[in-house]
This record gives sequence, C-alpha cells and structure tokens, in this order.
Amino acid sequence: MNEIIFNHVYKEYDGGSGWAVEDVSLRVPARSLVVFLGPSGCGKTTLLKMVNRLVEPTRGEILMDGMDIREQKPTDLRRRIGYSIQQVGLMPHMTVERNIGLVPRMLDWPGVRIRKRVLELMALMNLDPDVYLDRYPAQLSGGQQQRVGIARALAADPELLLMDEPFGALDAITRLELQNEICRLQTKLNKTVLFVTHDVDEALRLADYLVVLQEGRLIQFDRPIRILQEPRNDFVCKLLNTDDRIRQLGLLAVTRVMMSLPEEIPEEHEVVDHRATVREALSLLLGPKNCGLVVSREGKAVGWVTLEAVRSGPNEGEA
Amino acid sequence: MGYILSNPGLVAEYFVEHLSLAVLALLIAGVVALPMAWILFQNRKAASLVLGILGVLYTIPSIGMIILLIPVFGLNKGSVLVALVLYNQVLLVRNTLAGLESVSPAVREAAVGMGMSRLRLAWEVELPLALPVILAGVRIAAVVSISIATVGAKFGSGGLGVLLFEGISQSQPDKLWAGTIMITLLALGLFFGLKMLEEQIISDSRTVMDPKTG
Repeated sequence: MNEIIFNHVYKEYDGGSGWAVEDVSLRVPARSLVVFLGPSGCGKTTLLKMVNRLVEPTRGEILMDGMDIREQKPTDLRRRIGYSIQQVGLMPHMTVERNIGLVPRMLDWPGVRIRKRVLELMALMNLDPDVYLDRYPAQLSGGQQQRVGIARALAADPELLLMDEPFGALDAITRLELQNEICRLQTKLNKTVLFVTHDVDEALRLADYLVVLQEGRLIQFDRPIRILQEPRNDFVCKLLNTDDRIRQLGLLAVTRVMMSLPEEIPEEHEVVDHRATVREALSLLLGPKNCGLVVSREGKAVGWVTLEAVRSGPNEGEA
Repeated sequence: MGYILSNPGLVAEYFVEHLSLAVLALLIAGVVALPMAWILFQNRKAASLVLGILGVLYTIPSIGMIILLIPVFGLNKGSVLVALVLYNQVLLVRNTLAGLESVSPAVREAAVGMGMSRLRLAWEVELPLALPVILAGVRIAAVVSISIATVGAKFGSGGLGVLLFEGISQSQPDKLWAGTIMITLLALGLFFGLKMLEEQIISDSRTVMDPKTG
C-alpha cells in the first residue's frame, strides 16, 4: 500500500512572510515515483519533510494508508520511511557497513541479519563489499557516497522513500548514472517514492507522476507526458519548455510509433531496443543514409520505425 | 636539580598531590560541562547568557577568585578546587558547544530523518563527532589547572606550588628551581600525553583521504 494523501496542507514558518505551502491537496498513488518539481522556494522540500514530520504542517493533514501520520511517534514513523538528501549526510565516523546498518540497528535487528542485509544492498547498489565495506565516507567519491546513502535509506526495506534532490551535488555523468540506477531500482523494488528536484530533465526522466509547484501552491499534477501536452498555465509552459517537441518525444516509448515490419527490410537501417524513447530513435533516424529502424526485443525484430512514423505521432492507446 | 635528587619522596608526594587536584577538578568540571553544553546547545538564548557569565568568571585572576571563594569554602583545598572547577567549566563548556556546532547539519538532518531519538543522536553521533574539539578543550583545561593549582599552594591545597612559595620565602633557589622544573614537566607531560591520547582516539581513518580513491 503506502498511498499518501495531502489534505489541504498549509505551512507558515515562524517569522516567515506568507505561506511556504498553501492549500496543497494531493493523492500520491502507491508504488509510483512522484516528482515534486519547481524553482527554489516553491515549497517542494517543505512538502517532502512534512511526510516524515521533520516539518509539521500549520494546517491540514497528511494520511498514509488512510492513517493520520501524527498518530505515530515521529521516530517510529521515520524508521519506516527511507530518507535520502542532497548532502547525503553519511555519518563520517562510521564505516560504510555501519552507515547502511543504521536503521536496522535502531530497529534492533540481530547482527547477522543486519550484516546480510548490508551485503545485499551493496550488491544492489553496485558497491563491491570487499572494497567498500570498511571504508569511511571521506574515502568515497561523491557518487559512491550517494550510493551508500540510498542503500542506507533502503536498509529496513521501507515501502516509502523520500528523496530530497539526492543528485543535486553530483557531476552530470554520475547524476545520469544514478538516475538510471533509480529507474532500475524502481522497476525492481516498486516502492512509493517522493522525489524533489528543480532539474526538469531529471524530473521527466524519473517521474511516473509530476507535481509542479510554484510559490507554495500546487499548479499541476499529472503524468509527465500529459503535462507536456497540456500545460495548465504559462508558468508550467516556461518551466518545462513544453513547446520543445523533442522533449516530449523523450517521454514516448519507441513502441508507440512503430509500425509492423515491412515485407522487405531496406539494407540501410539501424536497430533500436524496444525500451528506447522516440527521441533516441529520432536521433538515429537523422543519421546518414538511414531509411528506418528495426525495433528489437530480446534480439527479435518486432517493428519498424521511419521518420514518417515519428512525424505522424503516437498510435492509439494509453500513454 | 639537587633538591629533587636529595628529596625524591617529598617531591613525588607534592607531584601526586598537584596532579590529583588538577585531575579531580577536570573530572568534576567534565561531568557538569558535558550535559550542560548539550542542554545549552538546544537553547541558544540561554547559551549566550551562560557563556557570557562564564566568560566574565574567566577574566577574574586566579588569586582573586580563590580569595572570593574562601568565605564560602574556607581557607583550604576546597576553595582551590572550586576555583579550578570554575575555570575548567568555562573551557569545557565552550569547547563542547563548539564541538556540537561543528557537527554538519546534513549529518544531523539525516540522523533525525532516519528516526534517531534525541538521546541516541547525542550518544552515537554528536558526542563522537564533537570529541576532537572537546578533547582539545580538556587538554587546555588540564594545563590551566596545573598553573592555577600552583597558586593554590598559597591557600593550603598543597602540591608543587609549596616548593615555589617556600623557595621564595626561605630564599632557597634550589627549592624554587625544583618546583619550577617539576611544574613545567607536569604541564608539558600532561599536554603532550593528552595530545597523544587524542590522536589515538581519533586515529580511525575517517578524515584521511585514501590517495587511491582520491
């Protein structure tokens, strides 16, 4: 389960001017990755921190599986929720092993079980235990630190994960690598994830659902492709640059525009994986002397894509 | 040197007396200062008030401080001990607070966000991370204690200071030298001993960059 409901939530900070969050109501579907997107000061981090009660709403309520989160002790609630932040916040005096085992230790898991779980998570995050288990955070690169941070957030197998700009401080290559990692994890683990970012590309790459925020108010909440196709107002248009058609194509699976294979496949063609986006397909199609693309699924040709097919847009069916 | 060699028993006795007074004062001050600094850390207004008061105390010269305490604790070791505890208090509270402040907000936020209770945070995160700064404070407080305990001999607290004051009043340069040498040795020994202990405690490689990983 782990459906999160924000019910007319307001927040005003002490000595602040006006609402940091104003009348936000939102139903986060369980097992989906929901990205809070907006410029700084839009209230996205405040909203996130309300879920694990690092920030208490001034008004309104937040329900988790139908239960008001205020009915639980904050420490108990937080131990059930994974939390990862931009500065990672690894304990500098603890080894990788002790860092990852932090929440299980608080939950009094037996040592053997913690050890097993730590090794499992390191494998999941592509960290070689033989090399990294006994390292201290200062001995890791930024990307490795964030991998440990994510492993730590997943340690007690929480169903809900809060991620506050986790990749904001990383270089572009590492960021992309970890974004792909999150996509991979999400298909594997299927958690409910609330993810805060101000990076539009990151948001579009990861989100099942996108929440666009401005000055504490929820402007639009929908599937990313729907927001790109039907932005609610000028702000959303500008923020996401919705006029950029290439960007939209980046959210469309190539299978949505593919046709059945022609009788005779022209010699000059390339092959694209069925998981690729139309944007990637387009890029290949624009290459020299390329008449079309064969879409392959596990080595078998399943469809055919041409420039014409891309231009005519997606076939009928759910986005 | 001659005096030390010809009276090793007496000098050793003074030495132990001196050291134990300083250590006792440090222990008492530490027991009070740690929780006090931790509470002050959560209450910024009280912190600046208390630090202000302690700062004023610290400016009082040691002889003056001991004399001020004599009406309350009598002309004996007690007044000297209390004076020592007060001076140590200033150094330890200040350094413990500075140590707590040196814990990165990100570390604190992650710890709290993962569900650490306030006490667990203090014991497992704040104390170990603040330890280097706290121990530096202990080291300075130890040296300060040795010097003030010397003055304390004038007020009946015993210790190596006795040699100094007797040396002066009896015009015995030998005694004076013996006292000076021993006090210097004690202060330097404590300073470097504690420094080594500190490095031992903080020697885990947590802040050392491994050149291989860069």
